[in-house]
Amino acid sequence: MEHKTIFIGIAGGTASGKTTVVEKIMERFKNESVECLDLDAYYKDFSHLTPSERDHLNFDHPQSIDFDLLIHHIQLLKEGNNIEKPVYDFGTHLRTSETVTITPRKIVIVEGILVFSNPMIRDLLDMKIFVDAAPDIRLMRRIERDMTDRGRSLESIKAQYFKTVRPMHLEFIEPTKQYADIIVPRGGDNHVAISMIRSRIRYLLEK
Amino acid sequence: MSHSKTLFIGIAGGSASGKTTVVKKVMGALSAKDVSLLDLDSYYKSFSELSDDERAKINFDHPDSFDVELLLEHINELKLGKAIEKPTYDFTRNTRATETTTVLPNPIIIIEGILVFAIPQLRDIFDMKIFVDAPKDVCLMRRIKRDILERGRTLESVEKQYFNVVRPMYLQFIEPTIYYADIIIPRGGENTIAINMLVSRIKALIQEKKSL
Repeated sequence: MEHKTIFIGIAGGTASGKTTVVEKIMERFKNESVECLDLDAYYKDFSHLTPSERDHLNFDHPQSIDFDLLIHHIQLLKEGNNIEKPVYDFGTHLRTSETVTITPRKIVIVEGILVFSNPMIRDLLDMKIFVDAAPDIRLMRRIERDMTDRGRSLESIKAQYFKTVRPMHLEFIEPTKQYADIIVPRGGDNHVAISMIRSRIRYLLEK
Repeated sequence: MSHSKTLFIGIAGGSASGKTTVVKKVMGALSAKDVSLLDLDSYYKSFSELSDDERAKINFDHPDSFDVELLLEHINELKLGKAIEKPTYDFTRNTRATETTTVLPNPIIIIEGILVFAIPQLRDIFDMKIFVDAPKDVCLMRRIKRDILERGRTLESVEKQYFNVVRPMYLQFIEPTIYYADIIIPRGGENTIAINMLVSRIKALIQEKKSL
């Protein structure tokens, strides 16, 4: 039986509003044939490293992501099979023993900062959306989030920002904007763009 | 006569960005009973008070070259459910021609042009703002091809116009308006995925209006 799944990639820098865009799309399609795979769940299992080595991992680099597993999962879903999505523990930087069962759906959203950095993933995506916000706006959101919600010091946020977040963004995220089919400026508050994406998904679901 | 609000969609982008192709493909996918198109190019000022020499020097990439008052008047008429007579611009004589085209007060009106977001009174009326974006070198290549092969111009004249008018006006008036866009369409006319999304959205809006 032909099982046509449509894969929609949503990428964008840290604090660009990507996750809000995805949430606002998903809330409209509750109990419908739409599922989301977040790239964050596919961080590599670094159990072979010592805890102090794991503390120095660069999570903004494409090499920290298990793209092979993600590609395998996308193919399984395409063929109509269930997958077991890993669950990542960000405290220990290890893959946990649990998984989440994802059943094949008509529409699968693949979301994450580095989704378009892998050429094989790009080829598997039917629609590529880049959520874009000015770097200063993203930084302001990130500082607010990390200080207020995560209780981090400004000094540690600044060190991480200049050591990994910013250089990795410029090297691996920003250049992938060229692969986008549409660019959504501002992010989560852009209801005009979000409505357009929803209309397209609604059409694809009913087709 | 329906009393539901007319929806205005603005489509801007640089010269040779692929904006016109996007508009053509979108219009082609929709019914002429649902959507009307106004192109900003039709609303150049008539410049009838100028001499031929003065007219040859008009900067067509500057917001002041458009008859914004007439366009706003037409927008209001359309909102009220009245048809308008869209002017025709004669680019060979740089003046307004006598003939006009009737544009019907359809539920959706698309307004297209390089500077549609650069004119504040116009910007405010849009319910959806789309910017068609292509890298400047890609646009330039298209422009050179179009002007030399299709319009028989010399490379020298294209180059002179590009550096004296097109490029500075783009940087000053067009590129900054990408900031106002709700959706950015890269690559332009060949971007079928984006065009299909826009068509789906417009069809959904038409459905919503019809079910009111």
